[in-house]
Amino acid sequence: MIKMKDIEKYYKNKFIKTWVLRNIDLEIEEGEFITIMGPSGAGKSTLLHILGMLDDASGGEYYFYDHPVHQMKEKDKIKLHQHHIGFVFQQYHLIDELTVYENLETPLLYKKVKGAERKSLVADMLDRFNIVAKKDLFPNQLSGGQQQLVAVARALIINPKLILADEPTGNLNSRQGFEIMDLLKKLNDEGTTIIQVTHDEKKAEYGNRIIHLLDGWIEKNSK
Amino acid sequence: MFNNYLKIALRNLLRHKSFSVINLLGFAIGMTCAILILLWVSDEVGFDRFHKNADTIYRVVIVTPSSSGILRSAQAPNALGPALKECYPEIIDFTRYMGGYSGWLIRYGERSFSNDRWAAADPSFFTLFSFPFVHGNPKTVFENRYSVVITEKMAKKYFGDENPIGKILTKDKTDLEVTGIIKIPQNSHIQFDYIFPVVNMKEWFIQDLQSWEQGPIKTYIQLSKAVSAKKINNKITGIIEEYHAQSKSTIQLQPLKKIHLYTDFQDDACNYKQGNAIYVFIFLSIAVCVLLIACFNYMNLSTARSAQRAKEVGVRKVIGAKKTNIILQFWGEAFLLTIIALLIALVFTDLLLPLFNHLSEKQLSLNIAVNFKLWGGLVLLAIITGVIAGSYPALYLSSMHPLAVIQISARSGKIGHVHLRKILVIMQFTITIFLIIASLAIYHQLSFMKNKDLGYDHKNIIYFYGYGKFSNNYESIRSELLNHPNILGVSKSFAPFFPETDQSSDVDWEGRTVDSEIVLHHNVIDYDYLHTFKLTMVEGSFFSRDLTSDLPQFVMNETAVKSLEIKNPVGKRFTYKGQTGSIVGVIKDFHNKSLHNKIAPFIYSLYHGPCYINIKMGSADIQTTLKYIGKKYNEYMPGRPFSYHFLDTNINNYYRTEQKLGRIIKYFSGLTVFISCLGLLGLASFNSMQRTSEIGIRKVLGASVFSIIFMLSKDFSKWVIIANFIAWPIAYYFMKKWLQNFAYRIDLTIWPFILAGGAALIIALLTVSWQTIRAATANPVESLRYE
Ligand SMILES: Nc1ncnc2c1ncn2[C@@H]1O[C@H](COP(=O)(O)OP(=O)(O)OP(=O)(O)O)[C@@H](O)[C@H]1O
Ligand SMILES: [Mg+2]
Repeated sequence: MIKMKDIEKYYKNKFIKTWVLRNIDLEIEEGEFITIMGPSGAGKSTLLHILGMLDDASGGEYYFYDHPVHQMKEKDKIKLHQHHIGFVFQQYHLIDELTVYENLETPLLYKKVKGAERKSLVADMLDRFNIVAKKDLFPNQLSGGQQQLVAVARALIINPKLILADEPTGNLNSRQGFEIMDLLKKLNDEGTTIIQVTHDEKKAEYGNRIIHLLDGWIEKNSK
Repeated sequence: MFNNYLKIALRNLLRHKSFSVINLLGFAIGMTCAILILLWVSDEVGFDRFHKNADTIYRVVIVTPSSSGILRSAQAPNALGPALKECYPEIIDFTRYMGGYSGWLIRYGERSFSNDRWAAADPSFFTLFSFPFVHGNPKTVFENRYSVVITEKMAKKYFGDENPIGKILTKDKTDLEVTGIIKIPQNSHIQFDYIFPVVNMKEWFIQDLQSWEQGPIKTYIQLSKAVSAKKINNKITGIIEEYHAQSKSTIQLQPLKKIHLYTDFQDDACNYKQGNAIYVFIFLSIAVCVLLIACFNYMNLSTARSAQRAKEVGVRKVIGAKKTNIILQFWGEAFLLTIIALLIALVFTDLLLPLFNHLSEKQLSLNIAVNFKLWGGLVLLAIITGVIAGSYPALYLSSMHPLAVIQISARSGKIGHVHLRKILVIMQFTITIFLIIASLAIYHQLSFMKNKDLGYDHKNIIYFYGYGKFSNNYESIRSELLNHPNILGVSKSFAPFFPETDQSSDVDWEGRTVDSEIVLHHNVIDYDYLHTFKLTMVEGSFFSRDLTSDLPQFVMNETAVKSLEIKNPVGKRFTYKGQTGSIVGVIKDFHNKSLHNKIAPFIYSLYHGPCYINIKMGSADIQTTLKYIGKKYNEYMPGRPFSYHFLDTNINNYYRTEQKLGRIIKYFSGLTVFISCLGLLGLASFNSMQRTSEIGIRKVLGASVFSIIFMLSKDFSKWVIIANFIAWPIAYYFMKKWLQNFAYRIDLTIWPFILAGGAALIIALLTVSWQTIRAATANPVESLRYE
């Protein structure tokens, strides 16, 4: 599903290159549950962003289902992204001015999904996550765990092949954290590929493979 | 999608009320100005376009070279029109026209009025032009020379609800049959109340209709559609000389549609208000400026708020929004605001229209039935405003990288549009200061003209036309009038004071050395003219009852002496239009024209026929004096209403356009000040909100309230001061140019500039002071905790 060859990333600042990622070779099969670990500043988020096509690598090759992402135009990348990738952030990142229902609906609007289908998809998702009662509330009327639940639901609503989760439980208490992890596990069991970033050993164990990053290098890639 | 955007937009509007109010108010006021000005402009530009043949009708302008420059006038020789039609098949038709003057007494049975405006024209007038007829057939109304066509309004006044057709109106002893009723639209440069066939002008206005001399009558021609006006113009330009060898005048064709705005000589119709393309341009620019200022407010405030919106943009991009989606969303928000503002503006406009109509002396209306084009324009206005106002926030936010947006908002919440904001505020204040300077300078020039010593007495002077009996018994009437202690002078002149009776280059004098053509203005007056207007002689003597002569006597002004280059003029032979006599005196120069113009070379001669009577009153008791004059008038003219004009009103009318401009600019500069300050208020509150923690820390470190106020106000003051430096040279350039319209004008001093700049600065500081003082005096602990 994903193949990275010699991916590197640096930031140029007054002629000095700061390396963030170096020499990343990575292959991920469909249906895997990958955990990325490493100390702060190691480049985990950066790698995730490149995987999610939110950011461009400075060099190397990246194939997504054999599409050469490193050669693609912005427009096509957005299309790939729109159809295949869901993102979950540590800070939830819901749109404050929209209700739960509307937050879930928005990705479908961008995908130009028709009205009736949209309605049923949102209703399904509300049902599945048990948040029907909350559908007319605004994000600031929800607890952190509930917000993250909505964020996961929003990532899932486009039926993505790949979910990228950057410390999805970082802002949650441990009970809420494990609920989200259980949810991700369940999704993975249903066939969605998941790549998560976490600092927590226990949560890392949800995955079938752990990638250790250190100063931008892949330290360890272990099953 | 649209719903989603609309919801967000509305929720944002409601959540951030002060921003919304500032933006809406700014837009609404800006649009109100723009709508008012657009109404005015469309009326000005639409003049005379209602005629079916508007594209092929031209007015003949006579161009005469003279020593004082090229003279242009629409007063054509009476024989010109018929000759043109006969000789050139491309000229389909012509009509001669003169009108707009009042003062002729018209009777209907017992009732009589003299304030209706008369006009005279050829029968083709009604087919060449297309004034709408209520009754009567345009082709035949003038078949009988003693017929008259009157306006609907005049028909109401004379006949009430009776059928006016066939009724008889009497002018002096002539009966005129009403054959048609027409309407004269407001936006026609031709204005009158009743019109009769031009052939009658022979008796009633001493006009030789076969003459090749320039008279007071104008000529309009209609060209066939196939020909180019330029070609025809070239063909006929020399025609006057062919028939009238002495003349050096040539012809220029002026398109009917350009008469109102592009006539650069004094059009003589006294009732109609000539327009000016420059003022149309000025007003349009003001409309654009005011709207831009409102747009800048929006850009400013929404970029100031963009940090708060950045996160939303980032999230939208992460979940699949394309750049165009984001652009559309933010543009849509601007549109929503402008549409709401447009609705508010329509209410404002409706409320302000009576005042604006009063200021601009127009009858504008928002009525959709009358003005359906306007509504298209309004929608366009909202769209354009939305596009401009929304452009920066839309393009700026949409182009941000999704990660940058998310990360920034997660971190400090600051995005740098400081430069843009600075520039926008500076531009706003540049425009504002410019308008303040302009209104100050205009005011200054107007009061200069009001207070200028014109070189003659014009206070408390009335004039009116002395008809038959009044003229015949003039000498005894004069002494009766002078018996009244408050009547200080009585004098006759053909033209009410300064407009000349005629002008001619057909002059000659003893010892002529000047070769170039010199046009002299001529007025016929009587012995008491000098005394009545308190004029003074510099040489020789004025006309006197004791100094009779068989030959014509002439008095000229100093300017005439100068331009004719006559040495020792008194006693010299002088010929005006074939009348030879001698110069008896030279009168000290006075402003015989409006202050737009240099003093014109004038020559005066004596006249004993019926003409205008000028009466100079003391300032004691004007009302009773007027009553006395009215009583005397009616002793000789029983049953005739006594109507008169004040000379001062006349003089004032010369500057009416400028007064209007001054008043309108004054109001609009007030509005721009208001809108700019609204924006400043929004920025100031945003600024102090953003700097709450900084202020808290500074205060904890021991900063005084004053130093914090100073710190917060410093930027705003700097911007306004920079705006001053930009506005000053621009204003200097334009006001200098405007002042060149006046031959007599003020020197542009530094004071309007300093005053405008100072006022803008003080107003700006007062506007931000409320916010800054509030921020500076807030409890530091609380502001830190708030962060
Ligand atoms: N725009 C940027 N310019 C320069 N350096 C950057 C930029 N963005 C990130 N970095 C650097 O890249 C490195 C990797 O950042 P990244 O966010 O990927 O780390 P991380 O592993 O996710 O850390 P954490 O566990 O704290 O989230 C950091 O050292 C960071 O300072
Ligand atoms: Mg990270």
